[in-house]
Amino acid sequence: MSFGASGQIGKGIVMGNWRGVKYARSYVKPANPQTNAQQANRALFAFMREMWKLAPSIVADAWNAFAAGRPFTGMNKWVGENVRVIGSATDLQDLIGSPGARGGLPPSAFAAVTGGGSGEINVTFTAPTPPAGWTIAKAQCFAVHDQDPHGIFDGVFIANEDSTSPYAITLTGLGSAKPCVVCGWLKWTKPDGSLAYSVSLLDTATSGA
Amino acid sequence: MQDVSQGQLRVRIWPRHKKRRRTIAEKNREQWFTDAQFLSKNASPDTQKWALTTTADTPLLPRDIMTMWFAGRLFSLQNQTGKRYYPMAFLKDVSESLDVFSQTEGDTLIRGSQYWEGKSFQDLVYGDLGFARVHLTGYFAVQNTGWQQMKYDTVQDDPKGWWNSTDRTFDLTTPGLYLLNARVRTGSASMKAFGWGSNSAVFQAISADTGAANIALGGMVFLYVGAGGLKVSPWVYGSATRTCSTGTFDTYCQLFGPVLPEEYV
Repeated sequence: MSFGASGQIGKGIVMGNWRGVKYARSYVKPANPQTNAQQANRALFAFMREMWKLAPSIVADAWNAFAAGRPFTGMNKWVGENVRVIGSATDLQDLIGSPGARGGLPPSAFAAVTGGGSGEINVTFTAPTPPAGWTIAKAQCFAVHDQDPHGIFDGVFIANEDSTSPYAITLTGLGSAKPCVVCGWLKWTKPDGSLAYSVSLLDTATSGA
Repeated sequence: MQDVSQGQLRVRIWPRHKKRRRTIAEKNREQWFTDAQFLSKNASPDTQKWALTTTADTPLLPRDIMTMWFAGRLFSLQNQTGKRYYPMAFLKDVSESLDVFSQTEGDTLIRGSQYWEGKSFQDLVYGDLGFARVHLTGYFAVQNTGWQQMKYDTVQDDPKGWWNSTDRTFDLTTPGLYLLNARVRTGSASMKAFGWGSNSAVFQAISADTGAANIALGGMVFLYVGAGGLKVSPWVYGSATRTCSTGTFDTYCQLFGPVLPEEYV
């Protein structure tokens, strides 16, 4: 027997459905401690959600691939993973750009340097030797201004990709002489035709003046 | 809420879901597992490729084999030369399983009639391996009377109680092949030969022949002890009366065995 219900019965039972998972739980009066730590955590969540809204599809695709078929979204994973690693940080230099999905191999090396033009950063990838039957579909990267993640996200979210070896990408439009964090990863085509993403590597660079 | 308990429909309050407090060990294990997954994802591409290749056509995922590796539970790693490396956890497991046969330090595993067995070195040699050392401390003179027994008088080591201080012999009762080493020294010439005696009679020369002279005498010999046992002592052949030097350096005898069980002699 199965049934579905949603809502609250008095102050006793709350029933609902989250991404196909039916649940019923006892009513709990929401807590709102308003501590400094709680406020900082809320600011961090807001920051990460704002980044997610601005994230180009190149970035979101990797996270959504990770979440595909699982009871959470790419945004859930993006916020969760990054809150875990940069929760107490005052910069973005531990930011995770790609969670890795379906076993993609990371680049052997990844570097970001100041570009020749104003607002530019040049990114290079060194590709690993692929496993038999695997091919690199694209090298992908993004850059954002380095900043304290406990506030309002400031600046642009620039991403680009390259499908041809040697994998070199110029990110533009980052503003003049801005310290940035740059994340890069590889998108693979596996022997069965499915796509896989590597975890991201991170470098810092200042955009061209 | 309503539910059925032992066939009876019942109405009861909604059960409070109280999660059991996790122990520190559980928390540590969960954190370790989380870290291991993070590490496996962020391992070098060569390492990930190795894991991918190793698990190809198996039910294992690359992250499984890497987690086993991090936990020390991967059976072995083989490098390009074919040499295999085994983790300490597996060495410990194998060692503990061998403890089923013996837990005595120094034992050797041998195949018994039914099972493998742990045997001590003494058991393997013949079950009664021993040694003894004696030397001369007091006065003893070699006489000009042909073959005569050396009368060592001081026991240095004799854990098996071989030494018979009455007749100055080693009383050996365990059959097998023994190794005897002895030396006798005097302050002057006229010593001719050295050997060992069996049951109160000279049996075998060790050093030069009785016709030789002016030689410091001593040497080593394998001697066989049969089922009836044997009284063993060094013998010397003198051509004049000579007082022997004393001490563990000059005039001594040492015995070790049985180095081979009787059935192999």
